[in-house]
Amino acid sequence: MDNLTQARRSPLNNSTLGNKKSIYLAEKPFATTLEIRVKPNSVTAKKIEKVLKIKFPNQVGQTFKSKDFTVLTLGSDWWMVVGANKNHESKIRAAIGNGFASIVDSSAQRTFVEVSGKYAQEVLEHGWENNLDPKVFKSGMCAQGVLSRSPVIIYHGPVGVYHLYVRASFAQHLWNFLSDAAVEYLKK
Amino acid sequence: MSTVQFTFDGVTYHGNKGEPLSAALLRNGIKVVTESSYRYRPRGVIGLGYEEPCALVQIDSGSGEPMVPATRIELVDGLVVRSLAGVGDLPNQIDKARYDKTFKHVDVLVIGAGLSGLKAAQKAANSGKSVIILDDQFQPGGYVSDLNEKIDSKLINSLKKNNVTHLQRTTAIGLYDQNYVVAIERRTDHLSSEILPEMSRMRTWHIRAKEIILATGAFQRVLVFPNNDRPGIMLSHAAATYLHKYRVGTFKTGVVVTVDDFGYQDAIRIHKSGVKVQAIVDIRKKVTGKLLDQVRKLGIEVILGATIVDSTADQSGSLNSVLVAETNLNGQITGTRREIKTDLLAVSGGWTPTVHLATYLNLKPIWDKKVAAFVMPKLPKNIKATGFANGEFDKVTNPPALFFGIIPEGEDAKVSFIDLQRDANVRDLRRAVGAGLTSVEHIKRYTTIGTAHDQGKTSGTTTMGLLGQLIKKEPHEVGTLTFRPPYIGVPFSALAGRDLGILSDPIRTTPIHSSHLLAKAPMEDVGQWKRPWYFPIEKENMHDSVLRECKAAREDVAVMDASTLGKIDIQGPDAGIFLDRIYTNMFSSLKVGSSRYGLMCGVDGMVFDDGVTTRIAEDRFLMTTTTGGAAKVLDWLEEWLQTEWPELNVYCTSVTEHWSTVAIVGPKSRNLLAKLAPNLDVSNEAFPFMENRYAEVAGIPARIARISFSGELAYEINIEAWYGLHIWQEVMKKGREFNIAAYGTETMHVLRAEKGFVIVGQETDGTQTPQDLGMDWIVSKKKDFIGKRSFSRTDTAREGRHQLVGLLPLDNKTLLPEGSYIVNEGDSKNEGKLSHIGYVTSSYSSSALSRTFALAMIADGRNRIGKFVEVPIGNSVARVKIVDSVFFDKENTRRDG
Amino acid sequence: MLLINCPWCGPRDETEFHYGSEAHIGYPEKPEELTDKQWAEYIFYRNNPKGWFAERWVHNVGCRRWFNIWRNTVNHEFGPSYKPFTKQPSRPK
Repeated sequence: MDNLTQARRSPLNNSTLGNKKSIYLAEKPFATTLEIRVKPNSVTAKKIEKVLKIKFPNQVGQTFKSKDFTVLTLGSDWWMVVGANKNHESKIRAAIGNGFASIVDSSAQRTFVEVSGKYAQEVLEHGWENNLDPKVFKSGMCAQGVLSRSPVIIYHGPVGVYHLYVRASFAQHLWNFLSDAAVEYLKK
Repeated sequence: MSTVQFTFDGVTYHGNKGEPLSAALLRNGIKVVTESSYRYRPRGVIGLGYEEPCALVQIDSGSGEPMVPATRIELVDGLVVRSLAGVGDLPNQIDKARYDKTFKHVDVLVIGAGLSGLKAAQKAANSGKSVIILDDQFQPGGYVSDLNEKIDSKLINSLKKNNVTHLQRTTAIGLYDQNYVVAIERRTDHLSSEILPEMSRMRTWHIRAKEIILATGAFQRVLVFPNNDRPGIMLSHAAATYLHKYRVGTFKTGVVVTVDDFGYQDAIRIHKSGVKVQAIVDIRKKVTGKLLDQVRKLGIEVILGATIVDSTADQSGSLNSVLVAETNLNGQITGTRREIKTDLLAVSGGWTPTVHLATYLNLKPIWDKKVAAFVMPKLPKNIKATGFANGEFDKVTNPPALFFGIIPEGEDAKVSFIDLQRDANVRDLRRAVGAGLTSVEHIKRYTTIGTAHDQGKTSGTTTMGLLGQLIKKEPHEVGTLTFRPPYIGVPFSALAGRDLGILSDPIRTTPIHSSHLLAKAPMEDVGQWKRPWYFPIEKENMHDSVLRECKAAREDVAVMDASTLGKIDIQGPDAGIFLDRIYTNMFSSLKVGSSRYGLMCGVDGMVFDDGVTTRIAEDRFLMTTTTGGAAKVLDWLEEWLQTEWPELNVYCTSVTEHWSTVAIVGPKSRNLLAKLAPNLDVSNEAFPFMENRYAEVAGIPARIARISFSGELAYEINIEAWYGLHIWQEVMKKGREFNIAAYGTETMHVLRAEKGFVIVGQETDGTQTPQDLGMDWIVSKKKDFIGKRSFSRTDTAREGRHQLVGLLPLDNKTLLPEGSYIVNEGDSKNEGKLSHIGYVTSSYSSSALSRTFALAMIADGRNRIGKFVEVPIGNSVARVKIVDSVFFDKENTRRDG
Repeated sequence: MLLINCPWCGPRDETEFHYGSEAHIGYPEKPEELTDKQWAEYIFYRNNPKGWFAERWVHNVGCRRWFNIWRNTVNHEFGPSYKPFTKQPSRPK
């Protein structure tokens, strides 16, 4: 680890809680994250797709996964690209030239908490108002909303594994909530 | 079935695990459970479920719950209860049980797991729909289960197989718009009389359903006659169920009084349980059919065209005999009285479908003469009703009579009870009518009928029926009572779930928060944020701490965590034009790398938010907002971009938490920065005011902005948030040689107030223009922007508006309380005729001024500068001089160091 | 709790939205040419009908989009929602 990485502090100190069988909460390391806003299907959007070798899904809640990136569709012209590195922002800027797009490195904006285990869905349902029924909120879908009144993006990764991206200032509150909600399931 | 021990009013009894407490009480011979709230009359068990108006108990074991019907407590070993007359005791200790909520979405929600509900759930599940079925009884089966008949196990199993969520002990308490149901599940009280530490005691279910099926059943009604409240007088369905299903052998003989065929069924059940039913007293003159033959065969006398007209009690107050007389349907007694000795009177006063949930949608139930009851209103297309709830009383061969009891006068009226919990009786009803009331809603409030814990479940229709009789109207013509959620009494703790203590509202913290906690800084709530208020050294109080922090900022260097400021990354070729329209001043002219303070107004011209915005690139700005205004401003920007100016190529992205900001303030801040960023030329010429530089600070890439909210030489170091703590610690370490002090929000407020800088939300409340704040200089004359037109409105342009000024109390130690009102000199003495010319917005003790000072909004304030006014403080009056709002360094000589 | 149909995200709970008052109140082209009364009407005056009402909402904790939707103020029934600058669907019956 270089000095820069050592100087970083994560909001939850890489905490974990629970067991992988029933319910497991874990703060995951920072991933470089770009929030991209661009007119869908525009020439500029296509240029960005080409640079990153991704596709921007057209429907809010859909995602795209490549070897390097997970692309979450947050709004009709708004995507969150997780897994970029520091150079990608400048590469995109170079590629689009004068094209109109907004590229924002928001890597520290959100804290990444993974919720997994047999009771992951039930634990989340104690505070997440949207439908988590896996037949509706399928693996590979994402949604933005509030979890225990904190702004959270949930990405349903592999079946039953949920990636929570919470605004960093709310991370401790969300962790407190999830830890309390997990209590009943820890020994199940 | 196992035997368990429980305690009632200090005496230990035995009962069967899982049966209702009311059954165990009755079996143990406890007919008098409590006394009535107002008339102290002995009262016993009347019903079987949440309709129970009388038999209330207080639970003292476990988490303790006041006011629970004994009919709804499932017997468990170690249960401790005591009788309750109307008012419960809140437990003294904090409830240590857990409570939670869950949110579910389903295709079909079935409310009620009686036979009709179970069948509806099965049908929906078989068609592949997701289903939740919930029911407030201990076991599924509803009415059929009360009859002690087995529910086909295939039915229950098919639900399991289809993954139907099946919840017993769960009551739907509310039905809201777009098929949103809130239900309370009681999860642990039947498992243990003690608190289970890891399992939530109650769970609030929030269910959104595409379709709702109401299978909520029906309640039996009481009949009104003198002394109709004696223990031993019960609803016939409840009585038959206690005797037949729960094998309660307390009663010797029985009499059934009825208006319908259900009375006959219940008489047969009672008879089969071994209690001799002496008579069925039926108000109807003609009855035919199998049931009649059956009861006659059992040797039960059937008295037609009659009802019970009075009762007598034994020494304990329990029922001793009933008086029967021929009576017409209007309640007039036409025959002679005949006494029948009995200790049980089972009352079958007709059934009322449980329509409550549907009426929460503001739908009015419909009067159905055929079943003599209010039935389901016309339901929206995605809500259906089935079974008893839908008025489907299929076993009826003789129609029920429209009869609610007799309406005596005089002393008898006082003991003819309508609402047993409220002790409201026929006399109350007569008095209400006598007072000219005819609407049932008025009657309810006048008599308190239907306002107890049971909300008149057994008495509502009876009230309407009797009222109709008194004023010669049909029941539906007197109007229906309005039911409101919750359907049953619900502990607040169940509704709160885990939103208690630190989870009651999100606590937002900055990346530097842990250091502030170590420094033992008291926190101030700023919206949901926790911000350090001041940083006391050892036993310093707030006043001394703030004076010291201010002194450090004015004489040496001080540091603040400014990470909470809202930040919005604004990109696009039209970003400059966009900001010109949003802010009152120009931003398109701002040089790349420079920052500018901006003020934004609503369309009404009133100050809305402020902050410093920096041009990062030709087509990119970083806006900062107030700490509390971040979300509101982002919504505002998006609103204008999306709904008014879609032609502008601009995108906004919130980056509040991506950046952490550490502000270093004071004459020595330049020296400190030089130490922190050795490669940066920090000289005034190379790094002037309102400019930005990129450099490594303590090894971390940073954007340093030379901006000041204190009038001092100052820098804001912006780093990616995860470096916030590291930079803070480095600043504190390197700042030691410059006597650095950390400061909190209070010192920030003092420093800015000394300079006359406003805080949006402190000096403003949404009714101040920039001109009111003396900030004409920031209002562009050249361009249009949001709110500009409003500045020339008659009201905003008039003379005499409240304007921002400074105040100096003549006694330089007097601290004017913020919010104090200000009156003309000499007016404080004029009691009741005070001139209210303004109010104090900010007030502090200043280290730099060696005195107290304040900011205020005063009518025509700027023209009053130099004049004296008064501020009443409690019983004393402070004499105060109005001065300019800038107290310190008016010439701005300090900001360059 | 209302269930509001965001034209981009579909039906979501009311908690995810902010209310934006009456729809189709445009910022006047030339505010400086308006009388005080006309300007005051733009700022302060809104309809408050009993029955169907076209109003604005923003899906602020979701896709952050503003949109319009028909709502019946009597029973909270919703009609169609529609994006800004698209043709307004006719008033529901």
